[in-house]
Amino acid sequence: MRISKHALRRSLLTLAISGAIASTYSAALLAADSTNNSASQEIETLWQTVEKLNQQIAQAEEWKSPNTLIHMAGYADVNYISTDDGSNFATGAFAPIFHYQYQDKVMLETELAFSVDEMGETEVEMEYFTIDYFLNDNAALVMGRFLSPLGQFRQNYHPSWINKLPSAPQGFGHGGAAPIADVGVQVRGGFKMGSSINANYAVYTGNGVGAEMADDELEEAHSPGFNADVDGAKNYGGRFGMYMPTSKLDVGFSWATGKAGEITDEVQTGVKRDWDFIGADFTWHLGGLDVRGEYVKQSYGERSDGTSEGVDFDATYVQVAYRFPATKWEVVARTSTYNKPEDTLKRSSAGVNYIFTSSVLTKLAYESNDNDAGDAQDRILLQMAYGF
Amino acid sequence: MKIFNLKTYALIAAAGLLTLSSSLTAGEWPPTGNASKGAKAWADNCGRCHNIRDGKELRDDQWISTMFHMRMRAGLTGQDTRDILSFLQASNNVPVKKIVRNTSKVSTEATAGLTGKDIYTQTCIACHGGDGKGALPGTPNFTDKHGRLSKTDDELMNSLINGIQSPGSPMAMPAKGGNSELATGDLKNVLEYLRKTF
Repeated sequence: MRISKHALRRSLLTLAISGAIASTYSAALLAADSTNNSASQEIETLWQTVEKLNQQIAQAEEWKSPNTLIHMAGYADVNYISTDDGSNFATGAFAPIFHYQYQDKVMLETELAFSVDEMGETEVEMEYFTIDYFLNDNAALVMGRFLSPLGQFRQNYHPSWINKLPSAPQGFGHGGAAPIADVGVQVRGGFKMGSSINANYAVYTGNGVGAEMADDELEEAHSPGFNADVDGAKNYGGRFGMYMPTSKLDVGFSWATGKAGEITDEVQTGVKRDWDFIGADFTWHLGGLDVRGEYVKQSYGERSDGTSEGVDFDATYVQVAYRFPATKWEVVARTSTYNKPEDTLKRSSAGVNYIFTSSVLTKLAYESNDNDAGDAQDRILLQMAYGF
Repeated sequence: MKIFNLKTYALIAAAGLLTLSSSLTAGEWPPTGNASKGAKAWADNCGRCHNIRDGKELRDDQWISTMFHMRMRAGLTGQDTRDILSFLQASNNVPVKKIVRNTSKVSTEATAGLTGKDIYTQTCIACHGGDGKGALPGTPNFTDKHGRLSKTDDELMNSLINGIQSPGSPMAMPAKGGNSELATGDLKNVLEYLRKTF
């Protein structure tokens, strides 16, 4: 078979063009594959990054509302005290409050109070320890050792960052006419009375209070929160409060009754007396003006055999404070009286406070003290308090 | 042996009944409160005993236990507790700051469905008072001729959108007064109400 030159040239040309097209196409295919692989890898890397970020965001969100929360609050203060006899620096209380809370159902609350005595020894007291069960929007069941729900100063105003003066009013400290604590059970909460009153309440029963005896005479009211009930009778009572937001007026009334066991030389003797408590308190705000007051009275009955008379302990305070507009300065004055069977203690205080932040303040006060014997000393007090 | 007297039994029985009457199931918690009502409840209640604390002092989770502690101390209702908690949690957010240079060009979309007066009486009144003179120490007096309302609309819109710290005030006004649901149109309505009323 003979092939012409022209046909041969045409065949070779066709073959060359086909080869060129085929090689170009395969090169293009290879390049496309390579690009696709690179894009896929980039997308995969991006997905991995997004997944990691999602995990980190989820972990970061965890702390916002876990089922169980652990929390610490509290307050502390440091002081400088000057009297005619001299002056000294003093640490006050360091009182951390611990909360361990399961959802909005149960909360464990405890407050410890660390202090240092004159000899430098550290003392620790358990101010309260309760397990609170939130029954519904209007009630919580509180079990354990709680701050006495009677009155206001002892249960709400005594922390140093809330108390507007460096010391407590007469009769509202430890061993005063206002009960400090009790061990038992209480139900407390709040509810609305119409549209203009927020009501709050607490009812309780507990081991009760004691009567500190000296030479067969009742010397001090005693309510540290006994962990035993030697007199064998539970006390019960409560407080009912009403807050009127429109007028910024808060009023409360307290009542309790039961028995008080006598204590001699720090031992409960088992001898008991009737015991009754009444109290009333108020707080009123008008702009920068803050007025507070409280009256408390504990009545101890006579011994059943008549060998010791019944006695009353009562205390009253009235406090006026004013914060100057658009400043951090506040002035405060307070007068208080504590009537005991054998003595009457009076205290008048005036002070000026500088409020660094809402819960950090410095208080400078002059305190005039008086008693029946006339040997009570006046004091100048400087305190820095921190609520945390 | 007599362990309890009759009254003690009655108190314990009452506490037991209350326990049984409560819901024992636990769902999402704490349920979200109403931040707008919370602003009012916060201003009404917290100053009863102590200086009012700024929402920025604590984190969201810290405010939860703090508010449950305060529920116990102050006798708050559960609803007031949740409302105040939502307000405080909204107040401690640090929003992306928006700068308004021309109020007339700001979106007029109002999502709350309320008038400026309604929003003022629900959210702003807690701190600024019905008379605009300030219900809390340090809150500016809107009736003062040389006071806060002497500023331009642009400056006031920036304050409404982003929040502002007034000298001597216990806390900064949070962005949108702590009510994150308000749109710029709602805030413009509030501003118009302030201009007309004070």
